[in-house]
Amino acid sequence: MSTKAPPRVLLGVLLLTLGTSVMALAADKPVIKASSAVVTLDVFSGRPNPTWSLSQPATAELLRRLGALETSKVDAREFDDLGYRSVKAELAGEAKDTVVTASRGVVTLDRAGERFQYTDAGRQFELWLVNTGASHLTADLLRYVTGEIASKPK
Amino acid sequence: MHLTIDVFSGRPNPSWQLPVVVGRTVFELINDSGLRLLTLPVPFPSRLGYRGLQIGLPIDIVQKYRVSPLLDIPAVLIIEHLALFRELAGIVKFAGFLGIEELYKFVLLVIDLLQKTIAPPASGSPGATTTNPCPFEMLPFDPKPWNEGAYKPTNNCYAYASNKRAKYPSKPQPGIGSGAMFSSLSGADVAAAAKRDGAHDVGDCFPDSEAPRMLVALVIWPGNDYHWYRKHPDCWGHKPGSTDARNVDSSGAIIADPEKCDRGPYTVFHGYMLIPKSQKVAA
Repeated sequence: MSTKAPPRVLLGVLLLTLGTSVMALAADKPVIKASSAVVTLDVFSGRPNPTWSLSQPATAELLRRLGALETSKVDAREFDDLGYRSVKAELAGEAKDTVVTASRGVVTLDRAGERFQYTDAGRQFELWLVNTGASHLTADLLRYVTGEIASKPK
Repeated sequence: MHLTIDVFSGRPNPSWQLPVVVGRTVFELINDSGLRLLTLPVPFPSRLGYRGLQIGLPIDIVQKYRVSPLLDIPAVLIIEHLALFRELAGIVKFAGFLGIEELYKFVLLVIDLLQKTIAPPASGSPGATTTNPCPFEMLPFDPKPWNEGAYKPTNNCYAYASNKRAKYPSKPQPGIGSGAMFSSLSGADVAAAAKRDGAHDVGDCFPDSEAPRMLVALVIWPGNDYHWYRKHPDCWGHKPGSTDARNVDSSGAIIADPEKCDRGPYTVFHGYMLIPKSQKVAA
């Protein structure tokens, strides 16, 4: 299955399931198909960052939520200090090499050298993605990260 | 009288069996200073550097003054301890012929440590804000090589602090280079792992053959993570995880003092250490 990306970057979402794959299709967004994803919480300095896998239904929900976001004209700011920085999902399957990163109210989708940016109002997409790791993170760390997100809505 | 100076973290503390006449004079000095009254039940401070005195008293003094044969005198009151050591220096200096020359050197070392604790040298000067009496080198702050794409993702704070830039398969961890990673996220465990890799506590000097010797600072995010800073000539540098190396803190201020800078959730300042050229850093 090809991963052709229309040149335009905007809105419209359609979620399809083909076999074991999940496809997010939008007229103005790149076509993304993925059956799973690996999420990484960029939060530590010394230790390896926490990672966990998303199931197929969770990956489908990720793509549905991604498709519902509006294109952003604001460039994502790189927040790279001590403590929580971002949450990232690396898609597997046909969408391999596609990375979705949420941070500070902007979601970026990087694929094959192309970058698409979306507005994450209230950081709800980011919060949802972090919470998919609830069973993999300590309660203290989860509380810290969600608290950081809630305290800085943009 | 047996005198121990609690100053080291990794090595055994230095201790001396004082000649009778010197021991009696030292005890009277301590007794007159009033510090003996503060011996119970205050614990020794947990900081690096000078933490206090431990004294084993001969039976005649125990009976005469009705004191415990073992006295712990924690360095809670820095100024009083400084005054005590200055007087002690005056006594010990002229007792070198009794075989306690080394004690005199340590007394001078403690005086130096206490003076720096009370009045740290100006920010940016060698040894600023630390009580490190050992020589070390400060390499210029040069983040560019650390931020190259091939190195940035896996060179973390430990690699940066150790000045060991390499293409690691993942973030290097204290202790892996010597075969056993830290077992908990306490400052003591992470520092112990770094020591197994070759690091020393401040005050435990490296020879010149280990230059460049890095002065580093270890901070802890309790239960979650650790972070290191490295001293440069005019600032402290660090590299938070896979991000860029930089010399500013979480508020964007140039780091003059890692104890006081904005460290985000890394709220516990564990202390300073020295890292030698031969530090074993591995992922």
